[in-house]
Amino acid sequence: MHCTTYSNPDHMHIDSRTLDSTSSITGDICIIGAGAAGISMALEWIDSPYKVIVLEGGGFEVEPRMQELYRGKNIGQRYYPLHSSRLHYFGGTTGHWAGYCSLLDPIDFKTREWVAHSGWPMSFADLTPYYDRAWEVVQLESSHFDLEYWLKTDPELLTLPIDNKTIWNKILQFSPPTRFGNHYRSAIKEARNVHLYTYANVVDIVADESIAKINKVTAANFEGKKLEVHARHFVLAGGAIQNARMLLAANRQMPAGLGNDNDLVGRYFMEHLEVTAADLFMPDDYSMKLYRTWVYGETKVRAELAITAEKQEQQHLLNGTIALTPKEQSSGVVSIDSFPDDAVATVKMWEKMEKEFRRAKLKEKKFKFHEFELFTRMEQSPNPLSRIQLTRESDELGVPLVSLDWKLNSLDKKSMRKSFELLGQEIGKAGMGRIQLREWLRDPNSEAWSPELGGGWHHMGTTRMANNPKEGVVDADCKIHGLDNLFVAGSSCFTTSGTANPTLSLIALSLRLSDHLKERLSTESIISLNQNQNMENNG
Amino acid sequence: MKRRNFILLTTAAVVGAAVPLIHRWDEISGWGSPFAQPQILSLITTRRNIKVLGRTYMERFPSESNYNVLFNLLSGKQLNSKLMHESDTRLIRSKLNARIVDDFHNERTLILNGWVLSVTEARQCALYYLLQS
Repeated sequence: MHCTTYSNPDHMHIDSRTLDSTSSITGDICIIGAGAAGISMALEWIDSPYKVIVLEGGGFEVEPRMQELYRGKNIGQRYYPLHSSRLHYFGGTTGHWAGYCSLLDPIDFKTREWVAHSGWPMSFADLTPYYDRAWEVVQLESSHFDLEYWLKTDPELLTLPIDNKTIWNKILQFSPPTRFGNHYRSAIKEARNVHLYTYANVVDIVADESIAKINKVTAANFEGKKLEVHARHFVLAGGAIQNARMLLAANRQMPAGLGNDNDLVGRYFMEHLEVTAADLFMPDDYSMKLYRTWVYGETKVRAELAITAEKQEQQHLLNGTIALTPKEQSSGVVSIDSFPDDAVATVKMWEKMEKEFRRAKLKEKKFKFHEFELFTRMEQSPNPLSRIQLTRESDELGVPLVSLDWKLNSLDKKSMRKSFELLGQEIGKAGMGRIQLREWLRDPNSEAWSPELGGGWHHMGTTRMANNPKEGVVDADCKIHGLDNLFVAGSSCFTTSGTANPTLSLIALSLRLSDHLKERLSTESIISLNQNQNMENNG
Repeated sequence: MKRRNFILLTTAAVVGAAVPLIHRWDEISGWGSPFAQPQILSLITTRRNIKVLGRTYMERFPSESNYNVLFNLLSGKQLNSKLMHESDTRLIRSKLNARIVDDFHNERTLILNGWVLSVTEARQCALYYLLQS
């Protein structure tokens, strides 16, 4: 094992390929997955009195063979290849993240009678203190997501003169974007109490005899090395597809998988519905600096138009935002086919994009336009039929591959159509111009979607949060119902998807889980101390 | 005079007065009438598209697919016959535009070929279609 001396700055990184055939380690916390959720959590534990083990399946670079472990089948609504829409290496999917950050809205957490299976067992206010910490993790310029704050920073930022009872300006900030794999590599590797194991793919999770507590997880790699990890608490942080897969595949003791007593693991898979759905035409140019086109690495903040909570309630709509892209700045049709079926190529594409956009920065800035494409990012309603399941095929390490049956429903389509109709009415009221819906969105009775419909590689909901074990996989503390020491970090815990890009929220949720675990370990230590004292007194 | 005949004659008089006005406007602008020019649409899309919108509107609302009905609906209470005789197109436009905004405020809107339109401007498209056909 490489873990030999504290003088080596790399001393707490262990390449599992170099381990003995079978090794066993023990820690206080074992975090499975080193993406945005896992790394955000691990950072919180640096210099704590606890031993934290981080298991990462890949290494420090994207590798085709590792990505193959993420291969899966799409059997529902057309979707991106599962092995290229997420990344299996240290830093995870932040390796091809665009950096969009915004907050979930208070309404996203509420039970909405018109949205089946809505309602988190926590509120927006419960997450707020963690947003206040999460923004720094992704290197945002400010903790502020309120319009008023940003309007004061630049007099050229003007809002559209539309009725704020129907449409409001939702602020998005942009991370540089923080590539967690590069940015936090040293911090994690150099931490004395955080033990990072790369090339450690979790292939099994083993519970005790009564299936009440996890005893160990087993990790493996292509070199045939096996690592058994024992810990007081385990955290699944592999992303929404992988978290469900790990639970479903841990089926030696429970045929349906761990945490799946109520057949909920893998269900309620959600994405944001992302597509250009309409066009806005105005007779005159209008200054749109507030709604500016996102430029990779340059844009720090912008607003998107969103339907107010009151209007959603009144019209029985899902949440959604609409971004304005000037037609002359449009990059044409962006769809599932725009991205390569190869994760390594995707990462390279992003690197190229970064260079191109940096060159574009030199061009003259222009913010006044009169014709726009309207691109939406809309909430998908939670749907138990939209799901991840195991297939009969296995990956190279013997773990069953998954299928994704992404399913949408009539509320999703109705909400999108109505949202654009409402925006069209508001633009009409203001006398600013007119909106034209794209062909596929026009028929109110059609449930068909545009072939251009995609998502944001935002995988959510597969271990959804609910107080009742019959309605969700994890409780409000992100602990799996019925298992005392198995937790889930990340967007798989989202009960509803909201309209915000999930990274900031999943980090906030992970920080919340981190605090919970610290409190719990502290309590357990006190109990243990008391028990020891009692034993000494009795003995 | 029987009541029915009176109504017919009055309608004919109104339409008769309107038709020369329409043609005079047509000579000036090519739109046929200020009633047939949806102002914002005319600035953001082509006349051809407006014609198509007009035809679609009439297909959807066949009961409105003639001059008289459309003209009466567009001139309405606010734009009375006195106004119709005035050649103040600016005033007519202004009244129509105010009504269009009012339509949007009161959800008197429809989606026509994907366009989110006020009912008034959709009728203007239909009148334009009729005048150009």
